[in-house]
Amino acid sequence: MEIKRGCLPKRVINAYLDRELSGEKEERVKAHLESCPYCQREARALSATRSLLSLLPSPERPAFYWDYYEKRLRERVASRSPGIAVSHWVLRYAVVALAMLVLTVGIVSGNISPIQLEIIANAPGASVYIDGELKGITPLQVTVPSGYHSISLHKEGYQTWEHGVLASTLSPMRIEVRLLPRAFTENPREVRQFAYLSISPNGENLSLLGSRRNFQPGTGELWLYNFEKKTLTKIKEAVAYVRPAWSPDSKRLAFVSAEPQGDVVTVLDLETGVTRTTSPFLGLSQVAWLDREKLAFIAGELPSIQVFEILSQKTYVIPTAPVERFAPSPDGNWIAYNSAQDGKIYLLSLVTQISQELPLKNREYFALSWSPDAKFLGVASTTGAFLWDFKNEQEVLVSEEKAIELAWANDGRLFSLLEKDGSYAISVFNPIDKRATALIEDQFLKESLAISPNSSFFLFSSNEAGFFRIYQKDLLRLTESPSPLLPGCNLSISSSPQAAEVYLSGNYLGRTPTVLSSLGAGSYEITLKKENYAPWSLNLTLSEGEFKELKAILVTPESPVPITRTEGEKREAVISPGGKWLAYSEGPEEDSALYLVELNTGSLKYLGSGRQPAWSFDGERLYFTRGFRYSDIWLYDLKDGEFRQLTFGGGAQNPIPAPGGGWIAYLSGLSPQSLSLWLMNEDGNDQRLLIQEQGSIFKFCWSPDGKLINYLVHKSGLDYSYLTDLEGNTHLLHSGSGVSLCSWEPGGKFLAFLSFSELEREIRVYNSWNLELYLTQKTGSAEFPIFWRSGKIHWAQKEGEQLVVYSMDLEEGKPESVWSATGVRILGYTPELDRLLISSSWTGYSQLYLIPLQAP
Amino acid sequence: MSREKNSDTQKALFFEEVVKKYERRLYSLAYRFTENHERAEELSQEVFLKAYLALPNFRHESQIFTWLYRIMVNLCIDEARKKKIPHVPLEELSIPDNFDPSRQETVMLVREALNKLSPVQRAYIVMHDLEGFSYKEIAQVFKCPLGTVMSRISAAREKLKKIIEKEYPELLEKVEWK
Repeated sequence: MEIKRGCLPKRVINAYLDRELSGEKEERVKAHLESCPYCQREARALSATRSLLSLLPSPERPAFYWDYYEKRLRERVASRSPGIAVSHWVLRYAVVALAMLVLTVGIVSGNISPIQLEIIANAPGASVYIDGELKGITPLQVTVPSGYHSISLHKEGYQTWEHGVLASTLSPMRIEVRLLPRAFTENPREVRQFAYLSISPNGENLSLLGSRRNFQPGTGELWLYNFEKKTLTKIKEAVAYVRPAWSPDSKRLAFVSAEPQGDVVTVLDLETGVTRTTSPFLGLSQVAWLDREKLAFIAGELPSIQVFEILSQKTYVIPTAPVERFAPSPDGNWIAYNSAQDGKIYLLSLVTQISQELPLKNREYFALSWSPDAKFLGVASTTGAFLWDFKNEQEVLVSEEKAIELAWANDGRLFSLLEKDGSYAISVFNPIDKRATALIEDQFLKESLAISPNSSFFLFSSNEAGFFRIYQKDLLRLTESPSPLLPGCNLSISSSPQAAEVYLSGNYLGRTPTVLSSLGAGSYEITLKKENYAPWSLNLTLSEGEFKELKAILVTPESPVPITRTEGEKREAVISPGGKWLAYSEGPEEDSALYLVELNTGSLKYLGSGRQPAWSFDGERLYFTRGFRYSDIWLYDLKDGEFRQLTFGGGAQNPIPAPGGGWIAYLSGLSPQSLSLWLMNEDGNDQRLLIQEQGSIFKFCWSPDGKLINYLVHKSGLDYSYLTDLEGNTHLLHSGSGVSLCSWEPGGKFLAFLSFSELEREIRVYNSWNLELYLTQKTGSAEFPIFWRSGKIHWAQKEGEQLVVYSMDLEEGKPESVWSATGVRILGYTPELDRLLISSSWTGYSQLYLIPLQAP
Repeated sequence: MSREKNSDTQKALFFEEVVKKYERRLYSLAYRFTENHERAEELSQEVFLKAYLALPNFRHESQIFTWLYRIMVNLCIDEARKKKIPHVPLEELSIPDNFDPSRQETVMLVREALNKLSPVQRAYIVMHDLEGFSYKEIAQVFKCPLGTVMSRISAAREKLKKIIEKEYPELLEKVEWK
């Protein structure tokens, strides 16, 4: 259905049909529907879908059923038997060995004998909290009363692990916890994932595709890993998710790249760096070499096998029925393929160009692979993995599980990646004795299998850590678990402009762009130097397994010099009370990075993920929010450089310390619609609810004397501004369609805020002591912040493209402009109020600047 | 002696305040998802059992009701993800007095179409269109903004509409489509 400009989005039509809109919105939608035939049609179709659903019968049960239901439930509660096995969605990434969940003895009989718990974690020294109290660090032996306890483990650099446990008198309990690196939280956007592995025939290099978006539709990057030097290099961006193929002599790599003109097959000569490409094709999938000079690939809407001759750069089609997948024989004379038409497997002779059907059973095939000696063709299907024995002309069963991928080792063994009921296994099959052995079996999604040419190890990509990472398994030491191929941390550094010298903690490591691999977790100082540019440096701490990408912006030393020099949208910025430090957050809210800048020296420190920074009154501690959907409040102590988590359990955000010290106020709630105002002391203890409103509190600030909090709450379509003391006694200051936070005059006489409606904005000034309205001043498109300086009130106002700062004496009542600029946003000001902290994209990158207020 | 008494009081309160109040709605949601009375009973009892055991630690940051529902929805989505395709034995279909074989077929087709949605999308449709949750209640259960609920319900309905148009065109005759 054609949607015209100005038509209603479908979600709005749905919300209207569901009567979830009200007032003006509802009226507008109704009016549009009455006049727009397109939207009417859409509404009718959506309505019809709903009415079909109403045909589904309701699950009514007879009245007497509920007595039986409760009886059964009471029995289960009494026995505390869990009954049916519960799906472990809470435990998805944790492995816990619990003794028993039966509680019969503990509470019911009144027995309170202590239970011994042993708690171990894969990372030693994790703090163990039981029922909210710190009990020690792992490995830990502790006694607890029998009954239900909530246990959580915390360790810097790792995700918090939390679970409820029933401690029973029947036997001692051992709890093994697997902590996962914190870098990889819910949305591991910074994490680069790797799959589509391919080892060069000479065993020297590994080609892999990297993705920052979980291999979702789009393109990834082509990387090369050298086994000997253990270096990782990015070869190309905008590469399609087709497994790259090595030429038989290991000198060339073929892959599919997305070019402006379309997708093309590219052959890269690794020695010379020369690339040759085909013309653009639709539907490119699978590339494989026929010999040193000929590359085959699938392309076209009716997919066919095409051959690209490297030297002549000619491409021709091999005439077959539409093809799904193919595999060239080791000698390059045959191609086995499965037909997209009938699903059967055919053998095509490249000499005679004639295809013959292989008498394999009809199955859904999705991988074909020749054994190195060409005696067998391995086939993977949804109903199992099989071999076609060419000599004896028969099928050989490899495995009855659904096979996703096959890979032959040069020693003649066949490795397969199998899936059954949500678990994944890698097993090895010996065609001679027809024995299969499982090597790895777990519930983590796996991709890509690559066997080393000398058959001593194999690689695979697994989602075990929450993102696709490459693991290596030694075939000569089968009892050892697979280990990550890229251990430690990896840091990819690029700069604008490039070719800057990179120093890691003082050691020269090359020029940008570069990737520093296998770094141990810990703190580093990165410095970039380039002639004619000011030096750039950053302090950062990397967590185990983290793959961080840095893009440094180099600036020439002329004014105005930005304070920040990292790439990313700057959202929040606060200067410490002494004026020494600036803390700012960068990037999208759900993936925010927090930085610290020492304003005198310009030195930059990366604090990890975080947002909503706020300084303690003495400027020695920085409070911030970490996490997005399940966020918590953290503290960074500048004196010792330590991080501490203050709240646990998710839902806490926006910490603001009281001026003068004492309390931290913050918002807490598990959904944005239900945030309440809380208080805790500076160390995170004594957490208590201060204000809970019907709507959601979305902003707040302290009065300069630390005795009042001004908070804004959105209810029934309006914003309300309240003042509260620390006992929860509130006073409604104002309500309207938009209200800003208060700004107090330093002498304490007045407070002021912005009130805005659809049509106009005004500043309202009140007497602080009796909260009576003192004056109002109409403004144009005034913006936050309002601040007081030299007895005058200041605010910023958008006038066309410009942002203009006005000041006004309350007595005289005449606003005058004191500063203006284009393309800026004001984020704050220095404590002396002599400079504005602004964000701007003058250089093409969002950066922060400190601008003297007097300058025009 | 006093410990037993406390536990009895605790249990009595739980059954009066929690179970009696929410048993039918929880059961209904489980049934809508699994389309099997036995499984609905098992799942809803599972949720109550979990709730009973976790109640001492309930922080009251959401209402009990949304908390219970959240547990239930997650259990249901997980069941669906494990590809436990609901098998509806014939006797499960409630047979009205005016039994209409063609209507039974329609019901089966609508069920099939609904089962083709992803588990999460199905959860949104079940909660809103079949169980009558408001957008706000759904936002509380899924702990997401209201706007997200709007978009997801819209996307799920759109997908269902497309499934019906493509694979069950005979259903279009049953209602006024365009």
